[in-house]
Amino acid sequence: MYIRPARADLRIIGYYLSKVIIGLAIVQAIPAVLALILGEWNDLTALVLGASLCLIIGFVGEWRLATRRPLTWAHGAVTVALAWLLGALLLAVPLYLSGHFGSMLDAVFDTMSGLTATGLTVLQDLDHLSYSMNTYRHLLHFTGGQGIVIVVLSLFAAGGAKIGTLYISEGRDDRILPNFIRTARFIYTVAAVYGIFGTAALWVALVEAGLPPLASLHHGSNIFMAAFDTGGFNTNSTSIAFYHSAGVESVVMVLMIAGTLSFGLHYQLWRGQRRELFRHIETRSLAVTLAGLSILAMFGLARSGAYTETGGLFRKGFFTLLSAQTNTGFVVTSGTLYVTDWGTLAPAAIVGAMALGGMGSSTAGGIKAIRVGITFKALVADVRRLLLPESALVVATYHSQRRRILRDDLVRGATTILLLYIVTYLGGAMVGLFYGEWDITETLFESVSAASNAGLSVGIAAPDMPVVLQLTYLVQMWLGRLEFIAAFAFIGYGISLVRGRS
Amino acid sequence: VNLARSRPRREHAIAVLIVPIVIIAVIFGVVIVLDNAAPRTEPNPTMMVEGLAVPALGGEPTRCIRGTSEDRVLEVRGQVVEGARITSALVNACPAAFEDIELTYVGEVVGHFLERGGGGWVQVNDDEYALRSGPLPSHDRFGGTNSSLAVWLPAELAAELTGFGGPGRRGDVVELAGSVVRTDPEDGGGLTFRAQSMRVLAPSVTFETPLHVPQAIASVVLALLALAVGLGLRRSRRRTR
Repeated sequence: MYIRPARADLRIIGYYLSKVIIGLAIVQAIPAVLALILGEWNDLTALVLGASLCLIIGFVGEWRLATRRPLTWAHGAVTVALAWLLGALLLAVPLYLSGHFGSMLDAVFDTMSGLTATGLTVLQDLDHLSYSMNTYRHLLHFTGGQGIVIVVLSLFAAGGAKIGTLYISEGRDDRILPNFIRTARFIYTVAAVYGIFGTAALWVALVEAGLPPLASLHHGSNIFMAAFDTGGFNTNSTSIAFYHSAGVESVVMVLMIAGTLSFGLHYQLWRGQRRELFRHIETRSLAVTLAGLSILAMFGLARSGAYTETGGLFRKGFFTLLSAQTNTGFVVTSGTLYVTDWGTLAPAAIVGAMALGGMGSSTAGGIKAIRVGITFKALVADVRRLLLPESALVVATYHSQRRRILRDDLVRGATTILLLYIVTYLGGAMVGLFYGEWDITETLFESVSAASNAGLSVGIAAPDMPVVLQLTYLVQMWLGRLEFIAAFAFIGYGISLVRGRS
Repeated sequence: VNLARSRPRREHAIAVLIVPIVIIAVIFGVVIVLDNAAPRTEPNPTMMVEGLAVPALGGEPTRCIRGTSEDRVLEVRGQVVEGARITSALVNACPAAFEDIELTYVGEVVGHFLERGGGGWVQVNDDEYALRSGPLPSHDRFGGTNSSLAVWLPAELAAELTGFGGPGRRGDVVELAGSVVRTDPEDGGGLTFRAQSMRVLAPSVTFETPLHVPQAIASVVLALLALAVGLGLRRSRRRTR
């Protein structure tokens, strides 16, 4: 039996949603300033229009729905799920008005891709897109990568304890500091510090690569946002391949790795606890899967004859594998080449890397290293139980900031989410197959890329893709970013509204 | 369960779901109308690059899968004559078939010239916007995403370039003669086109996008409305305190 949410429940969800929507106006205001400086008038008016819409809706909602009731877990989950949906819809307005999208759905698709730090794009003629709109796209990565709700947590500090549920529902289970507000601000501090050093390092590498200083600043700041937030958008259509520079690729690799580390681990490193890097279950899990899949990919590329020299194997093979595992989606070759020129083993390793993804509570997507590690440990413990005498007590442990016991409920949670990801990956691939234009390797590649928020593409995600497939990828990006639970809570809430009893 | 009582509540609940959907639909409707009112025109005919040779294979990409369709590589290679015009789509679909043959490639130079010793790298697009309609913001005829090849230009050829494509500018459209290198060691194994000669078919031009007046008016009105609502909310809060 479902219990129908009361009016007060809807009011509280609406109230916090309104706060988030006000936050979205700021995301549009920043590139509007750039548009004003550069005299990109149509982009300026598009961004002002989008920001004003958000402010009006947010202010009216906050005014009419003000409440002092605390958020429950259900409220938090539904608010987060709705915030990501509404965010994608409202933030799509300036993009659509830029004149680079064939339909509103295309603009929403790119916005969802930006917010979820996926990086798939259906934007047309990117190479002539204005500077302000390009910056706006990358800001979507930054906003979504850190977490839309964190924007609210940081800006509207009052009631921090109450909005902790929003933080957890947004796919972040690490409360690094005792207070959610301080945790959110720590996350932004980490991003800001990486932002300063990362942009500076990129600027140097880009100038060295031959880009003029001002252009290097534009490219560098945008690449930073896309790399650290493991997004994958770029200022030009050929992504990192544009720069033909090992230096740029090296800095980007460091930033992608930094982005895929959990903020909890960043905090430990911040405090000087470097040993955590080697003991943490997630770093071990990530290192093992990354090493294994890299070897597989490079072996596949060498065996097929795609690349036979170390330079190609590393700069193309390893870079792409790292981009896949961190779920960034930067490319150094045309996506078509994965199908036509990379053989079969290397693309399979890339699909595996995208599917597994980075660390939990990071900006990366996918199944996550923590779940892979826990599932592996549970499997080993089960095998040990089978091999030891029945009276033996097998206690499995893992290290995550401290030594913890591997409890059954933890294993169940990890395997459930793992299974949900696999079902989503396969589901998207099946929808793609339905059209009969692509084979299973291509549809699986694209589906895993969308649901794991990776953003690598073999070319299916394009402006002319079928609408149903586009909607499928859109939902996959949303589900993948929220790690299912908040999205399911939202769907359950919707059903309760219609079918529930008072 | 009192059904008589529960029905109006259910209707209320459905209304709660419908109202935000209607609001979003109205916003989208207005935005689409606004976009349609944009002062974009048909593509400027001067942007069209005339007299281009028909690409090899009739421009239809034939996909060769490494390791499984080696015969097709030979088949495609057999159809490509020296000096033929290639496109990025043709090359990406079957890279091995185009290696080490003298070919021609036409496209718009975009982005920047990345200078290295004795020459540099440029991105040369050969998509709809580069060769037919011109950059998208100047018109509303969509032609898909960009497609390109990375081109190595010797310094003496690069000196002839007058401008690069980007925001507000269509770059030089050039005809390049050279060869495809599938895994260029100078580019860490990237697929490149090494140009040996170049002819500028159309020099770089800037283009203006006219101000979208209805959009400008709408943005000013909405900004003022947002300001008014914000001030109203602030006053209401003060009164409550």
